[in-house]
Amino acid sequence: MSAIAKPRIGRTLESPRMRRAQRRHAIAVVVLSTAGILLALGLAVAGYPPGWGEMAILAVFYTIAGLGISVGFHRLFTHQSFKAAPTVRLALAVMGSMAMQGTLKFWVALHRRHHEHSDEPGDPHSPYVLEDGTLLHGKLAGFWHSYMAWSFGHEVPNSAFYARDLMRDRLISRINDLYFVWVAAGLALPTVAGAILHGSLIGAAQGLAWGGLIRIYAGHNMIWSITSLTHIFGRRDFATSDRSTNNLWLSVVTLGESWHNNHHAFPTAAILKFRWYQFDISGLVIAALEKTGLAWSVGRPRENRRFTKLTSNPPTTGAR
Amino acid sequence: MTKYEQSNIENWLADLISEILEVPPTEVDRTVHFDRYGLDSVAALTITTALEEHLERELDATVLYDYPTIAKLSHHLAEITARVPQ
Repeated sequence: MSAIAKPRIGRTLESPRMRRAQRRHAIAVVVLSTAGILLALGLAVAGYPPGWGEMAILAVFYTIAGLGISVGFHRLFTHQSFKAAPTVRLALAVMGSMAMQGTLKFWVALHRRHHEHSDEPGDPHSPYVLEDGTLLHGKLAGFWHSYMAWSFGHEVPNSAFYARDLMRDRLISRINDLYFVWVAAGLALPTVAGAILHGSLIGAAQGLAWGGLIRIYAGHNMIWSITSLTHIFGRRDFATSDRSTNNLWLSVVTLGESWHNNHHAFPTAAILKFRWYQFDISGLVIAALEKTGLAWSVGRPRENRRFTKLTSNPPTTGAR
Repeated sequence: MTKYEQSNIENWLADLISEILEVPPTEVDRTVHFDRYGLDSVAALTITTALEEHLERELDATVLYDYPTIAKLSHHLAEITARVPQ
């Protein structure tokens, strides 16, 4: 009887086919974003500039998809920083899929890989080093790679390695497989909202442009800011092994994700507000879900643990 | 030749899937559709790639979809490896 080799599951999958699929997806994001900007410009030139209605539709759908990414994909599914009722899990998985940042399992696998190798070879989006280990010397090259260029050529993160817990979740797997339905819904819903708001086809086009296409672009800029800027500029309150930073000025548009140094220091913290001024909308949403009983086991690092990890800037008295 | 026998391919597949799902191999039902395991396309391709390495032959990328249970797939693979020994 010959010994049968034990199966091996790699961190990344060598597959030209999947790499092409990833690249096509990244190109589709750019094409749709450009189409949205052109559509909005065309409408403005034709005498239909965006008004408060368009801004409201953009803000609403940006927040829906953004919370899906931040509260759902990131803090719940990637880091399991809190537990939530199945309805909440379902809603967040759908909302996050509308952002068109890849399927839930892909997103989780990629982000867990980022934490495993943060700012070291293997990190899909570091301003300092390429995934294959090539150092990025130029500041501009580093910024550009970590901002959006990475999304065109990164390795295929193996969900069978990184996202095993999600494979076991039947409901989540079902939602994952319907990814393109949710992306389409994320375009259809603001189109309908615009049509109802203005009672016209022009309104529908405005809704599609602002609440759908430009909103997808804005959401990508949110995540690209996190992958680049919050590893380049800003304060490092905690001496993490990577170069993550905290950035107040990005905190509102990133829904609290720009407290990225806090996050890398305490990845299982559900709420990233450690000081009074650290505004964290996603954390507020999680706290509200907890109050209503829809979320529990909310990760909050104890103050003394936070204190011992601090390197610089000892907290002032009363700081949370 | 042992590893090309149907029962060994079947056990090997159940082992691999139990490893991905982090459940005991005995809990992997060999007659349910691969869909039910919650495998996404990357995970499915991981299995195909591992199989190619294990059986030392190239396989169709769609083999998991054409033979969508462990039992069906292992029968198919045992058949094609028996037909054209490598």
